[in-house]
Amino acid sequence: MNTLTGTGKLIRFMLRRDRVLLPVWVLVFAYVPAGLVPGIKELYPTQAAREQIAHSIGATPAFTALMGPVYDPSLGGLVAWRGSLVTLILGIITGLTVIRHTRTDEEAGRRELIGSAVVGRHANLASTLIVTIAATAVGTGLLTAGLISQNLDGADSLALGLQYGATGVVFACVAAVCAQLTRGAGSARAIMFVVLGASFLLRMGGNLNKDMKWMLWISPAGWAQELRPFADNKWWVLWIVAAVCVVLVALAFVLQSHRDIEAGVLPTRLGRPQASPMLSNSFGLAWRLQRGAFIGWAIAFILIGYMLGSMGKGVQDMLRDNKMMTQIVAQMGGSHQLTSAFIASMIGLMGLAVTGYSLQAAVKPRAEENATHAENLLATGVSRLSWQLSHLVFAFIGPAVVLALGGLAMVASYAAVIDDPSGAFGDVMRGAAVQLPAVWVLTALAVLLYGVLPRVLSLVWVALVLCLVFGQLGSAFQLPQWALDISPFTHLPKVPGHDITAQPLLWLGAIAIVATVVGLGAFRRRDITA
Amino acid sequence: MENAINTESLTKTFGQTRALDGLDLSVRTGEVHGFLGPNGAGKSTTIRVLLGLLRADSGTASLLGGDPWKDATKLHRRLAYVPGDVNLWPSLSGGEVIDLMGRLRGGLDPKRRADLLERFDLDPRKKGRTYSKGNRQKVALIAALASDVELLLLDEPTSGLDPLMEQVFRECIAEEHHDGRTVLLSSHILSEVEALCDRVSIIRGGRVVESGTLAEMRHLTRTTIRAELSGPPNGLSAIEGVHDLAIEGNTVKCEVDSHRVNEVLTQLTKSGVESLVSQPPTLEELFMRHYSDDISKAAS
Repeated sequence: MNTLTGTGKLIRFMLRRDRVLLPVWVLVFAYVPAGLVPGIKELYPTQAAREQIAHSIGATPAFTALMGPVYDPSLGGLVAWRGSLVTLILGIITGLTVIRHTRTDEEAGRRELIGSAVVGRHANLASTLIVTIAATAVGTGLLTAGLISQNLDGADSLALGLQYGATGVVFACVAAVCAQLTRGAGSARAIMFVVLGASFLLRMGGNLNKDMKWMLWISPAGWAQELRPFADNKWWVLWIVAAVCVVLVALAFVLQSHRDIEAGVLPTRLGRPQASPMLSNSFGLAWRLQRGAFIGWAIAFILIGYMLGSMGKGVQDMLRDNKMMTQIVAQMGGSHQLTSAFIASMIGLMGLAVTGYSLQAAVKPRAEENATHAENLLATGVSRLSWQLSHLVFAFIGPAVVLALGGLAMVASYAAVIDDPSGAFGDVMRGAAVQLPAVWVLTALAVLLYGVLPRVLSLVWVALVLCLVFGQLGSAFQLPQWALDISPFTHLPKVPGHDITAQPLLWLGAIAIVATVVGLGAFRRRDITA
Repeated sequence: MENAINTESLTKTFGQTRALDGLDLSVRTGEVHGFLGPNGAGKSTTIRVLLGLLRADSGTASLLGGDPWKDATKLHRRLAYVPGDVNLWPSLSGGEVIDLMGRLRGGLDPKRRADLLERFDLDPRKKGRTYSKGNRQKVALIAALASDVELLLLDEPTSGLDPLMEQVFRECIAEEHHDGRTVLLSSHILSEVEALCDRVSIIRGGRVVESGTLAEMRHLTRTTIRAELSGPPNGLSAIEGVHDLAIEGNTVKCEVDSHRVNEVLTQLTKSGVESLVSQPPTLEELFMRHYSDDISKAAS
């Protein structure tokens, strides 16, 4: 039996397990770029209009930082630019798919069961990569076909398709390595997110600072951007991607050959023989289980906040270099307005990101219940309410602390580079504070579903993705206002730069409180399932 | 207060499945009570209702004199629970789990904890994710046995333990019994129940079909008798309560309803008895009798 025996059977098994999920994400990603075309066509019907918008995008560091420059002011060029964040979401999905079918199965003992059958050592990893990469390839093909059907150039469309596909494949390969490193699937996912976040930050740095262009070339997100579809179509970039993928896959297979089943490459240490006094109640336990995520997110936000704040200087530099822009900006209300808008949109993005953390903390009780940990705890003197609240402290207060730390880091770097730092603290902190009611609405949705319909709790992630898509792409898709209004983030005042309006914040807060109370009450009355 | 656990006509349905179908169970304070039944008979569901994790659809239940649903938190300080399939937190060491569970109950006896760790031969420094199934089971058992509680609810607690550890477990339960604690031991290992329990309830299809001491139950059943006689036996088939009679020359084998043993012996001595073996019914036979319907159903 060679180490790949059984790969074909596992592929079929995997397709069976993912028969709903896989087609859904493939189709969604295939649809996004083609779906952007009509909206952009209508908003910018003439070449002159497109050049104008490309110019103002180039003058807005927030846009350049997040989505890169517009390489070509054509319809296709704008479509490529507009969707460049979506490529990273595809990377997250392919990466999570790989970890789910490798380390998650292994941790749950399912791989041992399968491994005892006529299945080679590498068959699981091989079949996972084949399925994920093949699905990405199908998505790439559909995406390209969709663009061509909108009368866009074939080669350019293929380049854009490959921009998505390459990102998806790279992060699938990164995840294959991550899955070998640790014993737990959670830590493997965390390592993957660190790599993805780093590659995004490197791309940001490379886009913002001309002297730091090299950053683009050590970042998978940078390579995808440098493919430049509809502009230069630099096909040779794909060779870098392919080479890196080959190296990563080879590394993953080598690591897997050199470790035992259910073990990681990184060693597992022995623990304490006795519990510390901290571990005497349900909150102490929740802290133990949640502290890793909390500290990780806090560090990430401090780094991101510091980096984003320092970009305030980039904004001012761009203005000083360009006399005409200075005039335009002066007409728009002065440079202060522009930096405010930049900071506000960056904080808005941080608000969405911190919601991811809040939901991660809020769905922890469900994971504890599924693993029968809840059953064991609730069979002791711990009440249901206090058990759930111990975790919800992290879901509600956690994002506030993380956001405040990110905000403080942002203030520290932002105040150092702008002309008038006196208002920086208040501006940033107010901007961060107004995010919280919208964050909490989604947290409360998680509490509500957990109490009432725990089986569909993962819908909260769908809700977060919808908020993300509505916020980032809603206007480009020309969605009606009522659809945009579903996202709580749509209702937040843009602070700094605009006044804080209390009414939407109070409404969001009230919705969050009601949903939380109903959810907590329902949980107290339902059966504990396992 | 005589009964630690009392349930009357308890029912619980999951979708189409009726897990509990009018369950009456009583466990007296201070006894070790065996709760016997095959997989899916409703043992775990009963225990989970008693723990207030599930809410019964109808019927009443009382636990240590309280309502298991309403007074859950208060009652849980006085009991310890060991599930059949223990799942530990991957990042916590066994020692941490033992201490945590003990503190969340009524408290932990440190001397007993150390003693149990040694007897069960468990390394408390290992992380939850690195323990084998048997060792995970030991963690939960030590946490329960070292806790200062009145009632132990054990749901197939020895699954995964090796025979040596199974022996240690039996010793520990005997000590608990001696100290006056009440134990509900759900199991399908009959020898374990036979060795440890004062009284037994047999559950089937969500209902208790037999309950009582082993002696009482034996009385309701048949004794196997095997005898070699001096001459050919006679008159045995005429006695009511003799079953499966097999005669080979001077050798007799039969099963006798327990209250008819005297008549059979009288009849046998008439022919002159050379040797006699009489076997009380094992728990296994009791058990199989209650489930023989299921077995024949499964076979057909």
